[in-house]
Amino acid sequence: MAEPGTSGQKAGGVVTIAPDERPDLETPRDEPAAERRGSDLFEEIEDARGAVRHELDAEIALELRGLSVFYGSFMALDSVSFDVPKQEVTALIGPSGCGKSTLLRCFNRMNDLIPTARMEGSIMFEGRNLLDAGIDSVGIRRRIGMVFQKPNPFPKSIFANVAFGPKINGYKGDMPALVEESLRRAALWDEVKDDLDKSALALSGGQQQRLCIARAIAVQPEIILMDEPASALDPVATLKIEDLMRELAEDYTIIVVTHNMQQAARVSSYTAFLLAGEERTGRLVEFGPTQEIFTNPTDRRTEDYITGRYG
Amino acid sequence: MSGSELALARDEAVWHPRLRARKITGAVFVGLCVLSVALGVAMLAALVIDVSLDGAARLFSAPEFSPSARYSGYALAVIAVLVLLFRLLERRGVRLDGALHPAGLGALTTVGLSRQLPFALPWWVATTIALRIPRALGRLPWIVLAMLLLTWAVYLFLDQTFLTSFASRIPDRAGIYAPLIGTLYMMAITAAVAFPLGVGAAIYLEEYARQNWFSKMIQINIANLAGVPSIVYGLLGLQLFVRAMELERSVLAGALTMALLVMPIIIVSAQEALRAVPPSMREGAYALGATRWQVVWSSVLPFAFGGTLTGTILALSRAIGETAPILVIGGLTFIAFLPESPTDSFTILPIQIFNWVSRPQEDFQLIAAAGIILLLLVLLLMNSAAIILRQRTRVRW
Repeated sequence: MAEPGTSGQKAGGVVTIAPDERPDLETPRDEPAAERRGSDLFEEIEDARGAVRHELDAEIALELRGLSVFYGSFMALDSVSFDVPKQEVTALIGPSGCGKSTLLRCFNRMNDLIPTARMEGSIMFEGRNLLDAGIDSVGIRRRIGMVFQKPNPFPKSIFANVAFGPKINGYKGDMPALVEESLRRAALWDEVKDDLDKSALALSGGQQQRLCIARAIAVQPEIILMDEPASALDPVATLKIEDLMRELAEDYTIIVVTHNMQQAARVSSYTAFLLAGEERTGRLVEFGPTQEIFTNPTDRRTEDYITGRYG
Repeated sequence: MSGSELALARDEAVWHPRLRARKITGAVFVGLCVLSVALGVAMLAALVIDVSLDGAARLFSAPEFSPSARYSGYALAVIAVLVLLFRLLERRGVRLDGALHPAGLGALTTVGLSRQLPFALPWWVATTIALRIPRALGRLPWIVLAMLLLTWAVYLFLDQTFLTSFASRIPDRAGIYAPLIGTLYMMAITAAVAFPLGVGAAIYLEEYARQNWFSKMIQINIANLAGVPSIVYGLLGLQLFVRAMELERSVLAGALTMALLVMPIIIVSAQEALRAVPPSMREGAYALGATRWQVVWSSVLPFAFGGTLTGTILALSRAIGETAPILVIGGLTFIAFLPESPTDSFTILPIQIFNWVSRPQEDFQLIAAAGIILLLLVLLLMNSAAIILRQRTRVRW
């Protein structure tokens, strides 16, 4: 795609991306990568606030414009703007404390549960701003589901876990069929179909996490947020979750926070890289197709992070 | 990927968000919770007025009051100072369980004053068990103690009519039927009133109330109400239920007073249980589009229920042994009938025991000892029920 610079070769050695799975997104860039590096880099980032970093060819699910998050007087995120493509996996990467999880929790208004949290800017979802005071955050959470870092099934039966969401949302249809379909989609059905009445806590960690994914799917969300969904799992379970994410991306928009860059490279089509400065305020450094971010990043800090020069 | 799209097809006819109904349920619930907290505050205000104004007036500026009224005032003041002192010591980390607790000291005094071992000893044992002093003793002494008491009980209950006879002037015919039924009747109403209000208040304070000076004040007051001597609740009940609400000396008045007495304990223990539910359970439910009420009802309460129930039973087992509030309210000491409706007069076990103890005949004091053991057995039963419930409802995370 773009001319492979030194950075591209380094990153290319680390990650493997199947090119046939990626949409061909030739994106125009205003200036060559080499010219963007230098001492005036930070000023340029300042200037670029509020501007979209990357023009998407794909359909857009969420449009972030100048999104800032405050916890009391502390600014956790500063003016993040990018577009989340529809029915693709978008990865949020960056070192610890850069605001990835904070950003993820803006999408389904989970930050509302923290009394001191305050959000500015806008997240457009189907023509409406998710951050508007008049938006029903409960309704949003049904349409934008979430899977957490640590598997957190309820201490109930497997069936009850999956049926919980539909039940509280007033689902009147065929519950067993919905539970089966959700478990099938989460690639868990064959393992648990005979033990639906058993406690969800008897499952292994990887199975519990897939159960949580099934639970999220059961309410038929349009977007699924995943907060480091595989970080508490072993490599085999991680692989299963990753396969699942790719499969689910055919029907759902998935946004995944991950510490594992190989994972981001393996599962995502688009990647956003966030970084926090000394004052611990997170900023978006770069957003683009995963392949480009990993092989030919425009920002030196992205390259440093991807090649492992950051902590 | 399976092909069956039947269930997952986005068909709005199948999905009824029922948002409005959910909001109304939530609003009613929050209203109830606010009401119960308001009741708590009113309770506090009444206490303050009852004790501070009335009590202080009698203490300091009313020479026309009889000496006995004065002495009771002094006694109240001494109790209050003692309780404050004990609370202060507890704050500094001194454990005041069992015999060192004000109630334990009272029990010890009783032992010291009496020369009648048959009733003094079980009384003291009952008090200390109620205060859970043998926690440090381990299991074996417990079993030995229980065996001894059971043997004693069997010996005393050899006369089967004891449980089924009314009070009588003749020791051989005296039984404990009326106070036993009265106690059960009163405790049933107490539980029915105190449990929902107490748990509702705890849910409101933990899940709904904003953290500000007002909720903090309520919090501190509830913790302090748990330490207020029961006689003060008796005075409050006398004024509020017996006189102001004109319930007379009824089961209902007694039960409501007892409910006030145990509510702070229930609230505090329910709050503890709610706090013990891991935040990931709440987040999981919120992320599925649950309203706050649904999160509380279906995701938090089921897992806090065991702890709440345990706290409630322990609080009720404290109430079952309380004599002072019912004495003040006017529980009868000698009745030969059963309360048939909540507005009937009644008596309870401790009052009947007190009545028997204060008689000069040796025989009545033996009967009192039997009554004490019965009370003790009821207490043991309730505490064991609490322990069993706690074990069975424990949730593994």
